[in-house]
Amino acid sequence: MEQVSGIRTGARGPGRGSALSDEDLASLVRQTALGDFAAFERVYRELSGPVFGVVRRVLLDEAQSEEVAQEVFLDVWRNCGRFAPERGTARSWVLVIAHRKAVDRVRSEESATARVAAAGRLEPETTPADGVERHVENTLEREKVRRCLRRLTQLQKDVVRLTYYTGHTQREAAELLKVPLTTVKGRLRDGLIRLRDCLGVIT
Amino acid sequence: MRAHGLIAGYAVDALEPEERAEAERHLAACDECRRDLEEFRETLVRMAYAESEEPSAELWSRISASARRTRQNPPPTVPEGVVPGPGRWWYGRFPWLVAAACALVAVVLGAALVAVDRHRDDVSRHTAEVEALLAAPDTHMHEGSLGDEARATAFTSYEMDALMLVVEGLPDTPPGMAYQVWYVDEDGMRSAGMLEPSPDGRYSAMSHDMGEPVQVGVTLEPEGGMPEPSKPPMKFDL
Repeated sequence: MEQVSGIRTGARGPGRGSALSDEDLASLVRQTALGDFAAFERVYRELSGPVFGVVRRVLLDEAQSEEVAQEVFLDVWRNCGRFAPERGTARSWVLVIAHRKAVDRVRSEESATARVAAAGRLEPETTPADGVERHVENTLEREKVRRCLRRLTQLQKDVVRLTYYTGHTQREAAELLKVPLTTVKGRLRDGLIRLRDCLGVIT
Repeated sequence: MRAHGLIAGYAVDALEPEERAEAERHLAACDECRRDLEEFRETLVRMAYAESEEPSAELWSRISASARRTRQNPPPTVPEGVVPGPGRWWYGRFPWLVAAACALVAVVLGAALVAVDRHRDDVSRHTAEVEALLAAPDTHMHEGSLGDEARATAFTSYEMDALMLVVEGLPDTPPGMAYQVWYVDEDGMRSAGMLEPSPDGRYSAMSHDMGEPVQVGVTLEPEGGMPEPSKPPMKFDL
């Protein structure tokens, strides 16, 4: 992992302590839609940490994760005219794109080999709670999420890990866990609800 | 409702393609589900921040270099004379597309109403499908000629795996015959269903299982359609 010098802008969390409010970020995205490069760079500085982090979490392989992160931001550049604030925050809009692209990549065949190779270096079975030796930023937010994940039942935790963090479909998760699909759907839903409430998400 | 239980899976991108399309159709018609989805997504924002990790410093140079070579899709503008319908949740998201699509959507929905044996439920499901297609984040509009006379407009979304087609200027079909739509891709041609006539003489279709076609074709076939086109279709590029 390369050391990054200077200010770690991606370290700011979405809640308290974030340098950019949701409103400020939304207006930067609107500026970007007008072709404003400086605004685009600020959007990048604000979101490169969580975008790269979530993509890497799914893909494991660093080089592939950078490729996908690049696709994510190019997609943001091309389509930021379509961002609609009434449908959710700009952070959510960008991170939905990031997770979706990571999952698409992991399901494509080419990534399978790289994933296996990376699994040797990074333990894929861990939740972020398990202290993988990685340069992970935003310790406060990480602690909070870790605490909330601990409050899930084992099955809820497994389902969230296999789907969100690993990129399996619900059906695949059901096969891996040897439980009925309806159980997976139910545990994913109540697991997310518990995380939402534990993290104090209000929209 | 079954689709109701798909929202969590949709939020974490853990659905099979057909479930994803179903979830999107359902979202277009369910306020509560959109609220759930928004909350789940904000939860996932927090989880992504917990994974936050700076990429290498070169990534920005690569991104900015390619962004400078990349055209941006048109920003939304609200055209004059377009009045949003109440409760059209996609309106704010996509006014420019909606403006372009308004008249055509009326055609597609008109065709659905004309089909006499359709139930009310079918029509509202059809409406939800059209709205969901227009609301998909990756919907594109394509225009082209079909043969010498006809003009086609297509809306496609890979995410919805669906295509909406409206054709103007096709000759009336002889009795017992109908127009059939074909997806044209590297492997050949697949049926994309039948075109339905609308009261104003245009034809339309809403088709699923789009895949990644490079062209769309139309042929005149016996009513009910054929497994393969009986002659080379009129085609236009997507």
